[in-house]
Amino acid sequence: MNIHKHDSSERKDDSLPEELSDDLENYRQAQNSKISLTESEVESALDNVLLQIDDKSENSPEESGKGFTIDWKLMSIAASVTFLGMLFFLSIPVTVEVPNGELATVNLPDGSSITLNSGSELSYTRLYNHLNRTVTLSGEGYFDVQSNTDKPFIVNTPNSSVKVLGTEFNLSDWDDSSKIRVKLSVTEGTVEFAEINDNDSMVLNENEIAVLNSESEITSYSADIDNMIAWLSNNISFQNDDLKHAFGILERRFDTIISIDKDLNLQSESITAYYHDPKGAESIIQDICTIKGLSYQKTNNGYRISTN
Amino acid sequence: MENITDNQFTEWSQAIKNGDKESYSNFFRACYEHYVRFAYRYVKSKDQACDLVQEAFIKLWKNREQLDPAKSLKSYMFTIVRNLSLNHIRDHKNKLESIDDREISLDALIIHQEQNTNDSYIKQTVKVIKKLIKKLPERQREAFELSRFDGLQHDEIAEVMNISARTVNNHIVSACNTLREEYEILNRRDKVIAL
Repeated sequence: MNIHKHDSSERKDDSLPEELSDDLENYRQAQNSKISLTESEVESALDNVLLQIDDKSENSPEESGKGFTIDWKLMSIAASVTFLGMLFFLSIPVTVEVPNGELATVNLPDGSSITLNSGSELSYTRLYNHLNRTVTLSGEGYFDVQSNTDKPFIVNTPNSSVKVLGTEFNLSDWDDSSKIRVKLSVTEGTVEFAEINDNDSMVLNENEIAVLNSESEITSYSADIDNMIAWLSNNISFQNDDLKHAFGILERRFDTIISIDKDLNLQSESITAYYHDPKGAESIIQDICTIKGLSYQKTNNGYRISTN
Repeated sequence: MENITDNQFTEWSQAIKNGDKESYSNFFRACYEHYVRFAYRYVKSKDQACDLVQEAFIKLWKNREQLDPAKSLKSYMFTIVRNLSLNHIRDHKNKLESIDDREISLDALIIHQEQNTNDSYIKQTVKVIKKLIKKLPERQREAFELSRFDGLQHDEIAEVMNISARTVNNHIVSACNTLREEYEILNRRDKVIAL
């Protein structure tokens, strides 16, 4: 039974059984017949549209030709309104949100680039590179920062602050109340790492990893960074991650919902595993459940994890 | 719209770029209904869908000079209509309704099916498929419907949804997997009920 399920979730094609295709076609036709427009409906809609585009393209030149009396008072009011509008516009940060199941790359004006993992959010001011080089991250991102000794590059996350001059590093802070709050892995150069609102920082070098845990302790160690950036190439790597965190990774990657029975405490359980370009969440959930002696069921919108 | 060739779209695109209202009107007549159906899938109101598509056509005319005939006019319009529809939903959020729809369980669905034995087979199928599709994650459903119901290629869908072609493919494959599985379960239960 399980083997069969496993098989079908790994199928790669997008073909459907004939019967289902027929039903889908019936559905499509039924939906279409709900909205069928008569010729006169289409024509009157077109008339409406033509009227509006005529308005717009022919009125404006006439108006501007009417005369050249300039009301300076009005002009100055207009100018200050425009100026305030500009200031307001500049104060709104640029925000990039990545939906679950997708990755995105953000190229910043200074040539730095950030690859964002599924479910992450990055924001920065419109004056980035003019005022400062500060960005805010919630989730996980791989940063390739252009060197600029005058303006340090700063990333703030819900729980930490990272300051660099020009390096490459991976930073994750899902703010999901798991034991590991922030994880920083440096692939090139040096990085200053500190808890948010804390002046004590720690300097990390190439191939070093720092972890900020829920007790506000920062620990660092040397390790293979490749595992930390497995997500960049669509792989999944669990590095002693607690199960809550691991399920969070699966939820975001596969855009699904994994609910956990209330009486289950997953904080103390952790997992280390590597999956090369996995196609679905189910086989991974199955593995975790087998190892940890848990069981799972499929639900309407995802999976439910419970004790055996 | 299914019968319109890519060449025709390119011709229209070129002509509209040059300010040819005749071609613009022809494009409107040929495709308006299809785009209204597309918008309806988001906004669930015929009048609203009509308004949005008209707005999209006005937008197309205003920005005609930026049209690139090398790019597909068909998917460009899908993009505008989709953006306007999503904005409309965002501004008139009616979340409760969509959540309620989504949480209908398979069991409820089957009971529903039995109660309506008077309905024709097609009517029942349509209901079943509607529920199955509604259960798909939103982005998967969008990609799947654009592919199946609007006949767009994967690269066109990528453009419309502003994601990579690879992600489009992943979405569609996942959607097909889910549909296949759920459909099998339904059929199996049907047979049990019949026994």
